[in-house]
Order: sequence, then structure tokens, then C-alpha cells
Amino acid sequence: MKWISPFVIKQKPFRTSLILAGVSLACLLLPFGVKAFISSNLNIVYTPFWGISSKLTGAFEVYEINRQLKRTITGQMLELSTLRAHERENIRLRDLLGFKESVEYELIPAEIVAVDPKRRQNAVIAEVASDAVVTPNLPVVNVEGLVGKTMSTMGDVVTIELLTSPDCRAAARDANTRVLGIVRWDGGRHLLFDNVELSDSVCMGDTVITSGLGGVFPENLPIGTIVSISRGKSPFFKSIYIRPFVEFRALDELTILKRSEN
Amino acid sequence: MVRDILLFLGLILVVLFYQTLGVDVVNIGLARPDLIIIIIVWLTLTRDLTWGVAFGFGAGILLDSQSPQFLGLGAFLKVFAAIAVFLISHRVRTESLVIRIGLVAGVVTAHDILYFLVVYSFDPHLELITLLNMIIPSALYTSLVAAGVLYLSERQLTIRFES
Repeated sequence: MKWISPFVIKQKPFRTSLILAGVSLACLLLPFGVKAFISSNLNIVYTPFWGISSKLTGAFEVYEINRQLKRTITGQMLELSTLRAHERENIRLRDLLGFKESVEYELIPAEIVAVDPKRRQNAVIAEVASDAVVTPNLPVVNVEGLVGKTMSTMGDVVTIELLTSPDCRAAARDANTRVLGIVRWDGGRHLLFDNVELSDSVCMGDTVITSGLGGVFPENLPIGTIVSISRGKSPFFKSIYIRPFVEFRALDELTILKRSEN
Repeated sequence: MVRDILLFLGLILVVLFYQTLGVDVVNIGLARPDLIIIIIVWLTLTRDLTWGVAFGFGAGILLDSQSPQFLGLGAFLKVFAAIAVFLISHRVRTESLVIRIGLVAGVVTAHDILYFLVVYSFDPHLELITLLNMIIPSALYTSLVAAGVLYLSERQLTIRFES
């Protein structure tokens, strides 16, 4: 160790080093309260960097979301083009078979402004454009699926009866097996897919859509997914419950479907 | 003098950026490159001991402020690391890149072993687990990064044996 001593004694940097090492050790031996005080003051230096860090992280997250959305859009563009091809094919085949033209619907946007105080669970009050002509018994949907139907109108204010109302029923069918039934609310968390005979084939997870046979709702509006199938009390019908796609407690923008005049 | 101060502040800024932004990006499992040790070694070898010690103390105390309980520990060990590098550089020919990388690996390992010994209150079991899972991988990772950094600064790396 003899070679160290000349450095320590003669060189100025060594004296500086020893002083800084001593200061570091002194810091280490300070009471915790003092150390916390010093640390909190030193941490101020980090503040702008944490700010930049959080902004960069945010930007990176936005970039990731954007990338995912672009991928989704690309997939959906492809799906859309396939569906358009199917639509054209469908039109050609319908022409060949002499099927009636499918009905066109006018879309009337409606915004919920209140819930019906007397029927909080079952009806909402929405506002439509003042020039929109809305009559009772028009189907109401949102981006998730079937919501209900119009019940009464007064100027540009419309009362909408929800599918969770005991008085609202929708003719429906299993989208996979085409089995027909009636969807109604029977007081629980889910909707009842009623009038499905014991011999009819339905499966868990199947999507239930409107059948268009009831006269109010057009066909193919999504209602929900089958979540339970049991024999039930009736000797003839299954007890089938579906979880609706629509979140009835979080409704916001709705669309009223009106048969086009043309 | 002004250039020296600017360089010093610039290096501190690099450390702050690295600690807040970079360290999470470059981590591989528990292994993280110890940029501060690389800079300490580089400064001590290319400039002089004062630079290495001052930077080690500054960066160390800033890093310690993240865990107030051990305020001063990191700074002390980094000052000690700079002194060790300086003394070794006077006994070993550190012009060779392999030696320099070995020096970085050794300093990182010794620094982390001593740091975690104190943090874990000299618990040998915890120390051994940390050594295997974190310290050695970090030392290897730091050596790899140091290889690049020191290679780039090779032209400046001239040790003054006669000083």
C-alpha cells in the first residue's frame, strides 16, 4: 500500500476526494428527518424531467393506441369490402329470386335529456331535431344494439320505452340456429328469450337478433347473447336468458329508425 | 473553465434524463446498465480524479435523494469508485479496451455489492440473491454498454502515467 500514500499526501484531487467522501458519509449519518428534508429539496431537480417523462409516456401510449386503431381500421376496411361484395351478391340473388326490396330506414338522432320519473327503469325522455317527424312505435337503437321503441311524442321530445320495460316485447331469433322467440324483461338482470320450445336448438353464447316478424322492429338488430339455458317451469318452453348488448343504465345518444317514405 | 462547467452540467443532465426516461426502456429484466459508473470511469481515465469524484458525488447524491434513508451512501460509494479507478489506472495499463471493460465490470460489481450490503443490513442471503439476479447481470450489461461508450472515446483515453 506504500504506493497510495504519495497520492494521498501530495495530490490535491485526493484531498477533494476525501472531503467529498467525508461529506457523503456525514449525509449517511444524518437523522432521517434531515435526510428526508435534503432529499425532498434535491428532488426538485427531477421535477421537470418527470414532467417530460410523463408527457413522453403519454405520447408513446397515444402512438400505440393509434397503431392499434390503424390495424383495426385496416381489418374493418377489408371486412367492409367483403360485406359490400356480399351485399351486391345478395341484391343480385334477390333479383333473381324475385324477393321484395328490403326496407330502407331513415335515421333520426335523439339525445337523452331526462329519465321518466314515473318509470325510471323503463323509459327515457329524448330530444330530436325540431323538424324530425317521430311517431309512436318506432324502433330505437344505439351503437350496441336494440334499445326499445318510441312510446309518445310531444314536439321534439320523445318518450322511449326501453326493452327493460315489462310492456316492451321484441320478436327475436337465434342468429345461428334461426329459432324464433320473444324477448322480454321479467324483472331480472337479463332479458328472457321466451317461447322457445324444448325441442328447439339454441346454444350458449349465441347471438339473439330481432326477427322482424313483430311489425315494430326491423330484422337483424342485435339484442344480446344467450347466457343461460334451462328447462324452466313450463312443460313446453325452455327458460333462456340473454345478456343485452345495450347498457341500459348508461344510455346517451340514440337513433330512431323510421321507414323511409321512398 | 466555462466549458468544463458546461460539460459537468451536461453530464448531470444526461444522468437525470437517463434516470427518469431511459432506465426503464433499456432494462432487461433486473439488469440495468449503470451509466453513472461508466461516466465516472471515463472521466477519471480521460480527465482526472477530481472530475470523477465530483461527478460521482453529484450524480450519487441526486440518485440517493430518491431513497432518503440511504442519502449519501451512493455518493460515498461513487466517490470511492472514482478513487479506486484512479489508483488502478496508475498500476495497470488501462489503454486496452478489454481491461477498461473489465474495470467497469469490477467497479459496478463492487459498488453494487457494497450498496446492497448496507441496504439489506448485511443480510448474506438477500445479498446472494441480489448478486446472482441483479448485480452480475447488471455488471455484464454495463460492460457491454461501456465497450461501446469507451470505444467511441478511445482517442481521448490517454492515461498520464507520469502525473
